[in-house]
Formats: sequence, C-alpha cells, structure tokens
Amino acid sequence: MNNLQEMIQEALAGNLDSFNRIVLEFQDMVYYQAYRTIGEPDAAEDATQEAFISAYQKLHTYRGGSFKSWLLRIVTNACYDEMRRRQRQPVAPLNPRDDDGEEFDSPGWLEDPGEKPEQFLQRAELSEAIQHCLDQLEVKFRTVVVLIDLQEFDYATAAEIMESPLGTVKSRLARARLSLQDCLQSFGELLPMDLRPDGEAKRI
Amino acid sequence: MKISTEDWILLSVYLDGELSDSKATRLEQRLETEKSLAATYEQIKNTRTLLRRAPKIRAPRDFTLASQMVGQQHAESFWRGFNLFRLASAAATLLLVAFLIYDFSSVLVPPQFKQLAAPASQEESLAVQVEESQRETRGGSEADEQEEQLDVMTESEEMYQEEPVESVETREAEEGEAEKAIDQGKVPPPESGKLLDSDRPGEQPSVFSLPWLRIGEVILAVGAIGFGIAAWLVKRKHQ
Repeated sequence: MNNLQEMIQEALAGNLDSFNRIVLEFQDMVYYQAYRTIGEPDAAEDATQEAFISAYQKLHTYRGGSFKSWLLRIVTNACYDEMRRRQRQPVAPLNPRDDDGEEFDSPGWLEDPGEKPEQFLQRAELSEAIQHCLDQLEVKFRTVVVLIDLQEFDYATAAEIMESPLGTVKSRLARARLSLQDCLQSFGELLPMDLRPDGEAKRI
Repeated sequence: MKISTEDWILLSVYLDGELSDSKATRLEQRLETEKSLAATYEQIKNTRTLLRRAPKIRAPRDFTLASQMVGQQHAESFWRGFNLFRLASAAATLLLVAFLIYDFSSVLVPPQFKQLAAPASQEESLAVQVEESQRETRGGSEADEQEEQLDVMTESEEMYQEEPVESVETREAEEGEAEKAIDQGKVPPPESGKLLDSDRPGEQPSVFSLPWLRIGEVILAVGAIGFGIAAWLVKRKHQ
C-alpha cells in the first residue's frame, strides 16, 4: 500500500512511468468492470483507456482513502459516457471476429493454459450467458451487480463508488439478483450441475 | 407462496452478511419455519455463486499511457487557457483605449468649464470696457465724476446686497402689481426658460469624473499587461 502511495506521489509530480505502474496493477480490474457494465469489448477498451487518462488528469483530486474505489468511480462514469456516446448500440457477440468477419471460436483473453477444451467451452458459454443476462438489466442495476457479485466489493464500497445511499444499493442489488435468477435459469444446460434448477439437475 | 419485495431484499442483504444482528436473528427463525422463504434464499445463494464463478476476464492489452495521449489532452487545455488569457488581454486593451479617448477629450474641453467659461469672459470684457472708458474720460472733473459714478454703483450694489426692509416691501408690492397685470392679461408673463437658466446652479459633474477615470485606466492597464503575461507564460510552459 505504501508502494502505491509512493507511485501516486511520483505520478503527481509528473512521472508518467509511475502512473503506468499503477495502470498495470489495476487494468484487469478496470477492464473487467468496464466490460461487464458495457457488454462490448471495443467499447470497454475505449472506456478503460478514457478512465486511465481521466484518472491521470484528476489524480490531484484523490484525497486518500481507497484508491480502488476512487478509480472505479472514474471507470463507472467513463462507462456511462461511453454508453451514451454509442447510444446503446446492439450488443456485439462475445467472441471477437477475424478479418473475414467470422467469429473466433476461442477468444484469446479467455484462454487458460491448464484447462481442458470442454472446461474452457463451458466457461466461455457461462460467461456469455451471464453477460447476456446482465445486458437485460438497466445500467444502474447492472453496475451494482458487477461491483458486488462479480468484483466482490462490500455494500459500503459499492455505495461509495456509485455515490448512492446504502439503502439504494441494497434494494437495487436484490432486484437485480431476482431478474438475473430468472434469466440464468433459462440457460439450464449451460449452468454448472450444482447450480441448475432442481428439475433440470434431476433430469440430467 | 410468493415472496414479497421486502423479503427479497432482506434475504439478499442477509446473504451478504450486511443485515443487523437483531434482524438476522428474526429472519433465521422465519427461515426455519417458512419453507418457501428458505427455498428462495437457496435460489438467491445459487445466483450469487453462479455470478461469482463468472470467468475473470483479463485486460486484452496494456492500457499504459503514452506521453502523446496525455499531451494531447494537455494541448486542448493549453489552447483553452491561452485563448482565454489572450482574449481577456485584448478586451482590456480596447477598453483602456476607449477610456483614454474619453479622458483626453474631457481634459481638452471639459464640459463643466464650457458653460462656466462664457459668463466669466463676459464679465471680464465688461470690466475691461469700463476701465478703458474710465481711462478715456479720466482727466479733471470728468474723472471725479466717473469716480463718483463708480462709488454710486458700488453703493447701489451694497444696498442690493443688504436690502433694507422698506425696499423689500416696496419690491413685493411692485411684484404683486406685476402679477396682477399678468393675470389681467395686460403684460405677457416672462419666459420660464429664462427664469430657470438664471436659477440653474451649474451641471452636476459626470460619473466618469477624473479620479475614477484614472483608477479605471490603471486597472485596465494592469489587466491588459497581466493577462498578456499570463498568455505568454502559458505558451512558454507548453513549449
């Protein structure tokens, strides 16, 4: 943590290399938040880049406390801006496309070297199913689910990031979980055995 | 049995361990007795577990910043700052020029002096004429007569200044008669403009009186130079 504070101080003094070390440390978390919120890889990349540029320029406004929360607040706003900019264009497929416009079967960023092909496929399909259900939610509900259920932040941190009261966070999360439950159950066979609805598990 | 929205929120908050102890105890008692509530709780738990198992997607590339990315943003803010200072400096300069023009025109021909200058010069010319006529007619008894006339004039002025009660009464009586004559239409009334002109004490000084004008000029000059320097410094820093 002290190391992070030192990097922040150096970045504040104009050292871009120090800030880039911060970028490398947080870029996975930031991109994941952006991707799950927006649902489109290209837009998520743009939002992530914009968020880091904005963070560098606003670094002097960071007044201590959780740097992660401060950064995620910027990312959340960058996502909203990006979504407004793109005016909620239709969601692109999860798998990226090659030069001929054909979808790749296995996106590189989902690959895990120690994983069997069927395990990878199941994981990719689960990821796609979750993203599909997230996309059905309003953005304010989606953001809270991504923060608490996917990024595993506590309620207080999520409220701080979203700049919303704690009660609002609790209510939104409960409603979002209810919607997601209904949506995910429609993907019965794609879900892990232990998490399938009762009837589905018994049938298999 | 359908679960109410309140119960949904309670179960969701309880699952995350964010429910207060007293509420959690009451909910646990209900979960033991109400099967539908317990089943719903299991569903919410499964949904959360499923979401937490979602693959953590890594960043597809590095998002490190190049100096050009930050420089590009700086360039935009630079031009904003530079143009703002430059515009402010130009505006202050133009205002200063306008003030200076007004200032010089008022110094060369001050408006309050224009009106005061005319009667003063008339008085002076009359005095000169009297002196000249005195010189011409001066000599022997004529000079004495002139001096006597001047004395009489001086006395009459003094009398006018210290008007005795009798003469005031006489004059009021005369004025009363004149008013009566005007009322009867025998004599036309005096022009009101003439009366006002004689009573006017002189025009009020302009709002842009000299001290304020000078202060304004100084402020504008300092502003023009200051903003100009600020624009130059911003440009120098950018280079």
